[in-house]
Amino acid sequence: MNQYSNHTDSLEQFLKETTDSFCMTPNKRVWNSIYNNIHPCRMWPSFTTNTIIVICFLFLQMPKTVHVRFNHSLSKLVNKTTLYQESKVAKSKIKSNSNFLIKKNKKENNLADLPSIEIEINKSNYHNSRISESQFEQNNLSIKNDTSDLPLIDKTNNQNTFLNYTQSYQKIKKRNIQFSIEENSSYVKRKQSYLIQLYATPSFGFLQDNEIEENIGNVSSSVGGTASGIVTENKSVIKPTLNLEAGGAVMMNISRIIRLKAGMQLNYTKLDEIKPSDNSALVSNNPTLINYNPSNPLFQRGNTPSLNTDLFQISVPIGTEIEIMGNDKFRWFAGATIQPSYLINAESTDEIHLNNRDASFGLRKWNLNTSFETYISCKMKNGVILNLGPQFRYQWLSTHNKPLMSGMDKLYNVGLKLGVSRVF
Amino acid sequence: MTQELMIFGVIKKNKTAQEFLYQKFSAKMLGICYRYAKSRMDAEDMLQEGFIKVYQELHQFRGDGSLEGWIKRVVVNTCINILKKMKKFSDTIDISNAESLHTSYHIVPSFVQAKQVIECIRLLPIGYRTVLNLYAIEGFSHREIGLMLEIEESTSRSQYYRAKNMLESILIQMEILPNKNRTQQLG
Repeated sequence: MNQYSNHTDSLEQFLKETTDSFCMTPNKRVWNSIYNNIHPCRMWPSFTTNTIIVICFLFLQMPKTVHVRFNHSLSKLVNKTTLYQESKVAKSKIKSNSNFLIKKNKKENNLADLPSIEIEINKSNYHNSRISESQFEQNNLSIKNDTSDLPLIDKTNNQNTFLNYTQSYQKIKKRNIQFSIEENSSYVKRKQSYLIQLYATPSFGFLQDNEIEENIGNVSSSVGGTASGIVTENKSVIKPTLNLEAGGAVMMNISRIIRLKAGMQLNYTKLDEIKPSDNSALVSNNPTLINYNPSNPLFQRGNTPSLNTDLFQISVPIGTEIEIMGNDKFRWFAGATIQPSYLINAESTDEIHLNNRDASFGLRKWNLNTSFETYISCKMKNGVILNLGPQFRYQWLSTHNKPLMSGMDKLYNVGLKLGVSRVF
Repeated sequence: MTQELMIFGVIKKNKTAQEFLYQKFSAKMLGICYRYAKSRMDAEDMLQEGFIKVYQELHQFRGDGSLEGWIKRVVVNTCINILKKMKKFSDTIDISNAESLHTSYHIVPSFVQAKQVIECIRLLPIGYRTVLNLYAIEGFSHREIGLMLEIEESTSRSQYYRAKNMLESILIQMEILPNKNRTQQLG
């Protein structure tokens, strides 16, 4: 370089001088990542927004198609070649009609060398083609059309199944070849059904940990000096009592045994008042949260600070349910949901004024809960389905912004869920 | 915003103060991370981790040195920890491959000398490069480097010696440094 002469001694100096002035502008995403990491609360609005978007997506109408494949029965096969040719004719006839789209022509594995036709039926053209939608519900395909050019495919359980074709298909009719419409689970989709469920869940709520030990050494006092050697016995607890959950949900089948669930519910939790024991006083495990003052009556024996004890929470449960086993009448389900929740009456918080300084034990407005449930459903004759089973619900974050007792302020509920649902 | 106010704001988790601190020091710290990282993306990841640590530990800054120096130390330690996690240090690999490595100097840009020098440093093997950065630029001793990288002090010395020679030859090839032999002949 310019002033460089002594390689051995000056190289390090040269490197230091050169690299000291070197700067690079970072990408904006770096700051965004840092910011989200140090301020995680920002995740909640985006999480809620994404949840709402997912719920809306679940309710979007999807175009419904039913894939039907029918194969020629081996026992009735007379002339393979003729049949193949005729099926090709059938294929072309079907293709000419806008209601039927040939998906592909595949061979069935267990009926080798036999032709098969897979038809995709556009259900949005039901009314135009007068296809009865209700006939699909029994998973047997029955397409009727007043145009004689279209094939009529009848239910396949009959031995003497007949098909009305045009003159081109008279040979098939005469041979009385049985067409079987196979309901292949990989090709035929069950018609999507929705269930509306209304439920109520009386439950008992508990603290995560009822026993907390605290031993505070020196606690600074706002009036000067320190209070030392304060020992609290862990008898001060907040015991919830009977809780109630009520709400409604919409469930959508996405497969034979799995269904998605989303809804809205109201949770009511009643907390017992704080009851300090005879030998303890209400203090926080973190002296910086509260300025302890022995002269404050709140910290005297026998005083009971009052807190908001009735909590009303709106939750949006989103989750899945899996059918474990069952028959037409009784079915056993297990499910889990994530429930972002919002406390409606969080404004009416009580504040404990300690030495002219507010130590607000404000209630946390936003929270997240998880619930696990299992229940037996019983289908009644009128189509109504009754559900009954236990449920366990757990709150992830503490109820109060500044936990009263060592952060052990997370509620969990165990209850019995009663529900009524109906298919639509 | 004064430095004291900024530090106080960051400790109190004031968003404005945090952003101000980031805007003030991020460019230089990224330059430091770039010397240790394999790529720019890796350097930005190191920068991100480093600043998160700065925000978490700024309350430990006692003010007995410059804030920039303190942040630089935190960032360098973060870079080293990330490299250690990625298991980029292996004495045997570095030493065995050192002599056979050829510098592909044609990829070094020809503009801005500082950038040139940085890119020449980045051409070195990761172990050599790290020791060179820590000793020649950051100012750590070989003993400290040995503790940080979990290598022997003698290994640090030998790696630095080889790194310096290799870097010198690269810089001469790039004509950033004059050829020592030619200078002596002319002189």
